[in-house]
Amino acid sequence: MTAVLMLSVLQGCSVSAREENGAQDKKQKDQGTPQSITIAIESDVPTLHPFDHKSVTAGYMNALTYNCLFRLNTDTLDPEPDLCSGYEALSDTCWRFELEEGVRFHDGSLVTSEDVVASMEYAASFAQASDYASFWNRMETDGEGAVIITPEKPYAMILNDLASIKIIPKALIDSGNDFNLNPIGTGPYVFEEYVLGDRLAFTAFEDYFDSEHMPSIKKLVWRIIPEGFSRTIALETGEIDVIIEPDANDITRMEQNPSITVLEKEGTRLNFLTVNTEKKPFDNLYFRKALNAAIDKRAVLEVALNGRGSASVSQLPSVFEGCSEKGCGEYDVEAAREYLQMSGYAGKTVIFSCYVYNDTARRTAEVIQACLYEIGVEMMIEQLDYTAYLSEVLREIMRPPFQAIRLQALTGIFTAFTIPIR
Amino acid sequence: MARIKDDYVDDMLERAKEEPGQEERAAIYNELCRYLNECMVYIPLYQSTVIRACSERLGGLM
Repeated sequence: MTAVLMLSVLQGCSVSAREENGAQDKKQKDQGTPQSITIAIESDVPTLHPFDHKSVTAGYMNALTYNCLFRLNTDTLDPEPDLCSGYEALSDTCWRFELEEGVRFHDGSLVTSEDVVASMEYAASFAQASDYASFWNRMETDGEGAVIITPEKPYAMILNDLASIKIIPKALIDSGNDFNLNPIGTGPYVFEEYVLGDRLAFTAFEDYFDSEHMPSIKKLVWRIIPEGFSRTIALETGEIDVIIEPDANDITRMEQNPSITVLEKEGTRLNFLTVNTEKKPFDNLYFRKALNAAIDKRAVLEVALNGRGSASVSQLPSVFEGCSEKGCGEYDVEAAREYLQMSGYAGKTVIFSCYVYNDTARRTAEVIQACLYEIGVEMMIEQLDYTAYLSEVLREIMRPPFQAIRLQALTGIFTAFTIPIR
Repeated sequence: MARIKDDYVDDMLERAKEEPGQEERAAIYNELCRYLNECMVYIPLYQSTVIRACSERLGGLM
């Protein structure tokens, strides 16, 4: 969702230039839109591949270079047609999708139904895409301009899932193109440059098919600035134009700066401590309940995010349909001690390590560490950079057996991981 | 992520995927959520807001 929001912002932008930005910006001011903007993100981008990741930052880049048959409405999150010009359900399990005519990939080739079928089959070959790219039983072209997709059973989420499957050229799939290095799609921006650990650059795609969402900014530069205060200073000095993830500790300062605009809105992001329920002591329900009851979530929120958000007492974000807080339990140290007693771990030495990859997660972990110490559970904290986390921790956690506990946001903002329990 | 293996959870997720009615699907998710709350498959902490900051140069952006 964050990637969708960012893209809509860039496409819809109308801008007033700042006077001291020189001749180039004077020209931009006259035109009403800058030719180039620089956006800061905290983490490096692990890949530009459309399917081989679950990374939020990679999702930002994917939103620039690719389109899907559907996209999610930025306000309602309802799916709406993107590369699809129309669709109908032929039966409970058979759907026909018409393609927009005359859409071109960045390499100049036209999008056909064969590209759609090939993209979906290609997506299904990646484990990271399996949750949205494996719902169909049969798929076929219907001429050059339509595809027929047949799930095995009635499938209510079909349009949502199609909003995640990026359409890429069949010819490039067949030739073994590395989409991480050469991300060719139909998206509003063409990949230009990646400097490891420093920046990425994109230029507007002049042949972009969607006239209503034509990119008005000609060049986007994404700067990777891991340290939160450095991002703040870069924005204050004009080195960058946008911060995607401002550090919570700096937001009040930025709100007081008349040269900076801060946007805050409710999101779908639920941050949680994930435990491997297959491993001791996390396989023990009462031990998990003890952890939940021992953690002062309001304190976590205050320290980690300066109170911006809400403490969570559900396994789903409150904005999700069907969310319930029933049965989750509140912060209650005495109850935590009772649960620990019931788990059989009371009085025993329980130590585990928790890996974090950004400052917010580290602050979160520090509060949790103090809370758990109150009930006799020791949690150590180790910080990794994002790339190391993804390459070592996430890949490790994806293959059995593993032994871990993770701090994880549903949208992947931060993660921690534990290793051995002594 | 929590490596939970539970036939009831799998069944509820499958039912939700096949249910075309929004309200009916929400009811399934509600039941599932209450079950997961009891199981405490992970420890929920907080919901963060979406925050962006930009310079006045992009005045129309926000």
